[in-house]
Formats: sequence, structure tokens, C-alpha cells
Amino acid sequence: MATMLILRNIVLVLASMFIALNAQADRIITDQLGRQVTIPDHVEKVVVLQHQTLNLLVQLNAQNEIAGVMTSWKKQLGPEFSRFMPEITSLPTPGDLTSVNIESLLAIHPQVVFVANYAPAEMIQQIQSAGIPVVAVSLRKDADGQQDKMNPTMADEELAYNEGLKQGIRLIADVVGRKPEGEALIKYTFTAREKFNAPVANIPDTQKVRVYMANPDLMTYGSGKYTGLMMKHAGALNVAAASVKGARQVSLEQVLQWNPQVIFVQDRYPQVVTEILNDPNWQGIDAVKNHRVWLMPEYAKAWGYPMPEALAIGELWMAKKLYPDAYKNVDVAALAQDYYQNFYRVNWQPDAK
Amino acid sequence: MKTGELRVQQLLYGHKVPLFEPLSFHCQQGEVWAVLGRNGLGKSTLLDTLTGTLKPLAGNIENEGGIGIVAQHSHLPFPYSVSDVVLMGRAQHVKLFSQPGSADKQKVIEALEQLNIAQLVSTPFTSLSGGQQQLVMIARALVTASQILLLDEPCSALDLANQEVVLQLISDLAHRQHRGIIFTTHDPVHALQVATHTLLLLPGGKWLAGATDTIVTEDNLYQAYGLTLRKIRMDNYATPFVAPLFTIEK
Amino acid sequence: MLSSESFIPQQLVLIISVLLLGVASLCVGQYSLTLSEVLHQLTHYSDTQGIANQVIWTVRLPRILMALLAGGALGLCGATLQGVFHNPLVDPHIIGVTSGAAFGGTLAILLGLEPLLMMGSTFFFGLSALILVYAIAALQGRENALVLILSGIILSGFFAALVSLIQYQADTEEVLPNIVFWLLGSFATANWHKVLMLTVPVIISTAILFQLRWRINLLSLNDKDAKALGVSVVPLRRSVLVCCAFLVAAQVAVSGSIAWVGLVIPHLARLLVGVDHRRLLPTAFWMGGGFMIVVDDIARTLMQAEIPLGIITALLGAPLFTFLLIHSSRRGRR
Repeated sequence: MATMLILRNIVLVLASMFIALNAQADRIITDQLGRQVTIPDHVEKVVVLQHQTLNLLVQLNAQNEIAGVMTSWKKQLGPEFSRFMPEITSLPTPGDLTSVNIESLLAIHPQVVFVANYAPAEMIQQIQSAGIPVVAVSLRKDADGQQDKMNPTMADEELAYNEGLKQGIRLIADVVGRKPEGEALIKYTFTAREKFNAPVANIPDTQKVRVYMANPDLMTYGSGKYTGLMMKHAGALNVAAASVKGARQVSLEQVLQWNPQVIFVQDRYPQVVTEILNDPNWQGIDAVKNHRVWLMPEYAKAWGYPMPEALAIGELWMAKKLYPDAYKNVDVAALAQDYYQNFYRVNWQPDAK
Repeated sequence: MKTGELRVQQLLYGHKVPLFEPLSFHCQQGEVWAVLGRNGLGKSTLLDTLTGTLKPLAGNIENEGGIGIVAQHSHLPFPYSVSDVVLMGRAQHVKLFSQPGSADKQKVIEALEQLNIAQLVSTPFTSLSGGQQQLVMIARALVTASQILLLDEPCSALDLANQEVVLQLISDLAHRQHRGIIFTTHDPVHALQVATHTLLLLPGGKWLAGATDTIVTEDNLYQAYGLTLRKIRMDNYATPFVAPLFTIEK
Repeated sequence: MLSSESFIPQQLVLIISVLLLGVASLCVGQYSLTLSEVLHQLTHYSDTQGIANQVIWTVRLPRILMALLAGGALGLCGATLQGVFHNPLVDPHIIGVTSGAAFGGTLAILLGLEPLLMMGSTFFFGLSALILVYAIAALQGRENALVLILSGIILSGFFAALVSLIQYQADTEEVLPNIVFWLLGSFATANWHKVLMLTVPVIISTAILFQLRWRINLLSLNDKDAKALGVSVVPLRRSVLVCCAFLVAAQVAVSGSIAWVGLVIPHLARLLVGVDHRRLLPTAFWMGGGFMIVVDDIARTLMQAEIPLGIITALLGAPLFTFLLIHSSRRGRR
């Protein structure tokens, strides 16, 4: 009897120690800049100063943990994003991609701040010195030593972005305690991609459709960006990839020289379609002559960084647009609906042509 | 060489080429030298050379006791007060990292009083008349405590009344304060009125120097100006004056 | 014009006002603190745990000091250079140091250098710009004010072109926003380390220029007149320009390029104390410091996110300068 009592007490003490340790315990994670960051065990209040991370947090169903966002979320994600997260319009905006008002941040008392990998080192330093852990997200897995370079020479872009996206999703999920959701997102995305890339996977380079991604002011994406990979997965060739590195402004002459067969415009820049169609200088281009200037749907985020919806349905949409015969029986809208229901928990509303 | 003398020996001056034959003259304390000649010959250039702004091409300039200069035109980028302007003259007496002290400010007041413009002490320089500005510049040259003062065309922009003031001042500075004064002018009458000695610059690089009466003669003036002039002495006046004898064709 | 007796007390009033402004600025910010909390934190540094303490000691105080020093440096530099170049329309950027420093910083951002190296690069290229200005002047064979101004303009243009080139080369998503934000100037990342880095050159250069303040009157004359008064114009001007270069390079290194302050503050100071540089230089320093503190208060409080300083100084500076011009031309007409 006495032994049982002692045993019980020992177990109680051990249990309480265990609980106490856990409650105050911190854990160490490695962010995508290779930094070791100590964060609390349970993170319930974060500030997000990067739009890709914001998008992922919503898809991981962690939007209730977001206590502050970047000022330019509307510009980066489009105003329609508030559909997925209505409360975003009333959230404080203590900073942006490249700067933060440290007092506004402190007033929010977040437990973690998510920043882009290219946020200035001074900014990251300042937030850390204020006692708030900073987690940098790049969605790119670079060779060692090139983690924070802006345009790294990637031996294998494909690998870098695939692994980087998975690593990034897992990192974010881990921080906000949504590990199962993270794995689900990864699985869904990569399975869908593999399935729908298959019909166009073996088109030789010379027969790939030549595509130009038109951002405002003659900006486009060259090599080293996910955009080119998206096109590759859709059986297309990024005309800018051969001579342009990174996201840059090009000249009209270059575009005329490339003479793309198709011009895509991202959903967040609808005015670019009108500009191109009405600009006499562009009329000589193959894509314009043959009326192949298309605005992409919201989920086809042909950004420099990969987003899961782009991999899962965006690439499919692009592939079907370019090779409709290969996807006769594929209902892209239905698939989009499925994705949106799963990860955004709202209905998909088509608004692109 | 006594303090307050300026001795020029075999001086060749000019920007690249000597403007005159080797120049020699000697200005002593109490003397007033007029540098007389047509416009454009090189009077101002001579003054620049004497102050050291322009390097002489050859020859010697000997001086102890400093040379102060009153330029012909004074341009100030900011509306300094008269006292600020005159105080600038103390530059050589104030150490590099020091500020002007009460002794310097006292010298400024003294100079202004001497020129009867003490009431202008706080007036902005830019709101003064031409004659008053000239006097302020003379005050500035005075506080440099130089024994030799150079004045570049001090009367050229002044009306007759102000010219008289300035010429009287030049005489007082020389005779009462025992300084040596050198001033340039193109008007021979100024030389006759106040200069003890004259340096006459002639075309062709020639020059004449000596006591004013001997230098400023009708012949020499004809050589200098190419015009017939008459030197006239009037009964009641101590100094002669010069009148032009040319007539304008109608 | 002021009599010399009224100047010292007036200066003291100015200095105390600016210092009070600094203390008042401690109470302003996105993190709300009452006056009593502020005073409590000021007197209890040992409490390093609380956020309020942190806000006062590591966020606001270094930032206010940096604004004071940077604004003072720019005001002082502007007043000095307007004197040296005989021209009230001169801005400290005229000696090319700002453009050189801007190039140094932009290059550092492009190369992804860490903060300390970036400050070093900014400072180094800022000073090199002055050396190059003198080199160009030497090639022209003369070293008067006009030649220096022209060389400064040439060099500013050259470095500005390099900055544009870098901006063109930079990745538009990841690097360019960084560069643009830095070029507009900000005290957002102020810390004690940076304050120290700014203090050393500011104290040395300011002390030297303060002692030379009467000589600036002499330098404001044209070279011939100054030389005739016995001033060794060339070495004096060189020393003054080197001091100004240190001030500007250090300021850009810690906070990016800030425009308008160096141009407008000296004019305001002249309105207050007149044109004698003995009074103008210290007044320009303190007025510049006070102005910068106010600008920074706006930058960090008006909106939740940070507003770059260049935007505020331009929006305040341009109308202010217009008003000053109109006011002075009205006075001239009377």
C-alpha cells in the first residue's frame, strides 16, 4: 500500500513536471534562411509580412492565428483575397515586405513574425532584438551558402522549388501547429500535379508553345523563377528564360524578337491585357495577331514563388489552354472547385477568360 | 626697408605676357601714389600683383607691414551687416580656430567712426548706396591694420560729392595716419588733387613715375590718352586741373 | 539684426526647445504609453524585462537621438556649404557625397552584404565621391567654387546613373523594393550601435566646423577678395569640405539619403538669426535636429507602417521653401 502511494506520488510529480515543462517549453526550428529560431511550443498569434506565407496560412486553416498582416496584401494578393479571410480588412498592418514599424509590432504582441527571405537583415535583426522570433520563408531550397542571395544560380530549379515549397509548407505548418494540414496540402498538390502534367510531360523543347508572361511596365520573369517551371509543366517554354535572369524589366524590342505565340497575364493585373491589345506596337506579335492574350484565373499564380494552387490546378489550366486536345475530358473548373472547397473553404468563382 | 613701405623693383607683371617694361617705384609712408592710365592697360592687374593674388612674372616686391586692398566692385552673396563686413578685415589677426574678440570689434567701431559711418553699423550692406558701400570697404581695409592701402578705382562709380569724400579720406589716411596709399584712376584730376606721386602707364608698355606735378603734364597726358588736354591753374585754387580741348563734331 | 547680447540666450532657448521636443517625442508612437509611464521608464533602466522599457530605451531613444544628429548634421552642412559656395541655393548633395554614398548602399543591397559591411560601403563611396570631385577639378587645372560645383554635379550625375543601373539590374520582386525603400531614408532600424557610429563623425566634424564658423564668412567672399584679406582659401575650403563629407557620408550610411533638409533649414535659420555664420551654423544644427525629430515622429506614428523620410521631407520641404522664397522676394521688393 505504501509502495503504491509512493509510486503514485512519483508519477504525479513526474507528470506535473512534464506538463509544466511542456507549457513553458520552447522549441527550436530552422527557417529557410538556415537560421535556428527558438519559438514557443504553442503559437497562437503571428504577424505575417509576406504574402506567400499569408496565402499558405489561410490554406492551412490557420487564419485565426494571424494578428497582423503586411500593408501591401491587397496589391500582392488582389483585393479578392478577403473572400478567403474576411477579417483581413480589419487587421493591423505593422509593416511590409521590406520594413516594419517596430512599435506597431510590439503593440500586437505576436509570438512569431513571418518574413520573406529577402527582408533586409537589419529588419530581421531589429525584430529579433525586440524579443520576437522571426521565421523567414523562401519556398526555395538552395545549395548551401546561397540561401539569401537574390538570384541564385540553381543547378536544378525544379528541385529547388519543389523541395523548397514542401519545406516551406512544413515549416509554416510546424510553427502554427497544423502539421497534418500541411502534409495533406503537400500530398494533394503534388499528386494532382503529377497526374495532370503527364499528358504534356514529354513534348520536346522545340515543339513547346512559346509563352511570354506579361506583368505591368514590361516586367517579366526570366530564369530562376517558378514562372518558368510552371510553363514547363504546362508544356510551354518561357521565351524570357534564355536571356533574362530573375524578375526584370525588358524592352519591347526583346519581346518583339521573342515573338511569343501566347501571352499570359496574371489575375492581379487585368489592365495589362487591355493595354497589350490596344497598343499598336504589340500588334505585330504572333500572340496578339492570333488572339492568344489570356488573363489567367486567380489560382494560376505564375509568380516567382510557387504556390500550391498553382501547382495543383494552375499548371493544369495553362496546359489545357495550350493543348486543349490533350485534356478533352478534364473539367478544370470542377477541380478548381474541389481545391477551393478543401483549402479555402469557399466556392471557386471563375472570373478569368 | 622701414615698416609701411612698398618697394617695387624691376617688376614684370601680367597674366602670361608682361604688360609693361620692368617697373620700379617706391611708395613710402605718408605718400599717395596715383596709378594713372587709360582703361584696360593693366592698372587693376598691377594691384592684384602687388597684393599677391597674381604671381609676378619677374622682379621684386618688398613690403613689411601688410598691404590691404579695396576692390572696385564688392559682391556679397549674403546681406551681411556693415559690422560683419568690416570685421572680415581682421582675418589675419584672428587665429584659425578662434573667433574675433572684443579688441577686433573695437577696431571695427574705430574704423567706422573714423569714416563717419558709425551709425550704419547694423545696416545690411546691400541696402547701402554706392558711396556708403565704398566707405565700408575702405573701413574693412583699414582694420587689416596694413600700412599700405591699395584702392582700385575708388572714385569711378561715385558722384562728385562722394568723390570728394573719398579723395579727402585718402589724403587724411596718408598724411594724418602716415600710411602709404596707392590708388588707380583714369582721371588725371584725381591725381592732381590728392596724389603726391604718380605712376603714369602709357600705351606700348612704357611708364613714367615721379612727383605728380612733374608727371602729369600736358605732353605726357597727350601720350597717355591721345587727346589734347590743357592743364589749367586758377588763381584761388592750390591744385591745377585738366580740361579736355577736343570738340565733338556735329 | 540681433545684437550680440541677445544671441546667447536665444540660442539657449533654441537648444532647450529642441531637447524638450526630443523628450516629448518619447511619448509619441504606435505603442501607446502615457506620460507617467514614459517618465517612469526613463528613470528605471534596470527593468529590462518589460516591453514599455524596451520601447523607450531600445526603440524610441536611439531613434530620436539619431534623428537629432542626422538632422543637425544636414542643417549644419547645408549652411556651411551655402557659405562656401557663395550661394544660398546649394544643397549638401552638391559635393557629390550623397550620390556616392547612395551608390555604395545600393551596391551593398544588390550584393546582399550584411549591415556592417553595407554601412562601410556607403561611407567609403561617399568619401570617394569627394576625392573624385577634387580629381576632376584638378584635371581642369583650377580649384575655385564654380569648378568644384560643376565637378560635384558631374559626379552626382554619374553615381546617380550607376544607382539607376543597379536598380535596373535588380530583381524587381526581391531586391528593388529594398533599394527603393533604403534610398528614401529611414530611421526605422535605429539602434545604439548605429547612434554611436553616427555620433563619432558628427561630434568631430561639428566641433571643427563650429570653431571655423567665422571663417565661413570669409570663405563666402569670392576667392580673390578672401585671399586679399589674407585667408588661405584653398586649404581652408578643402578642410571644410572634408568635414562636410564625413557628416553626409555618415548620415547616409546609417539612414539612407534624406533630401531637402540641408537646403531648407539654413534658410529658416537665416530668418531667425541672420546671415553671420557665427550664429547661423549652430542655429542651423539645432533647427535641423529639431526638424528631423518632428519628421521622424510623423514617419513612425502617422500610419501603422513606416513612412520613408524622403517623402515627408519633400512634402514639408518643398512648400516651406516656396514660402521662404516668396517671403524673401517680398522683403526685397519693399
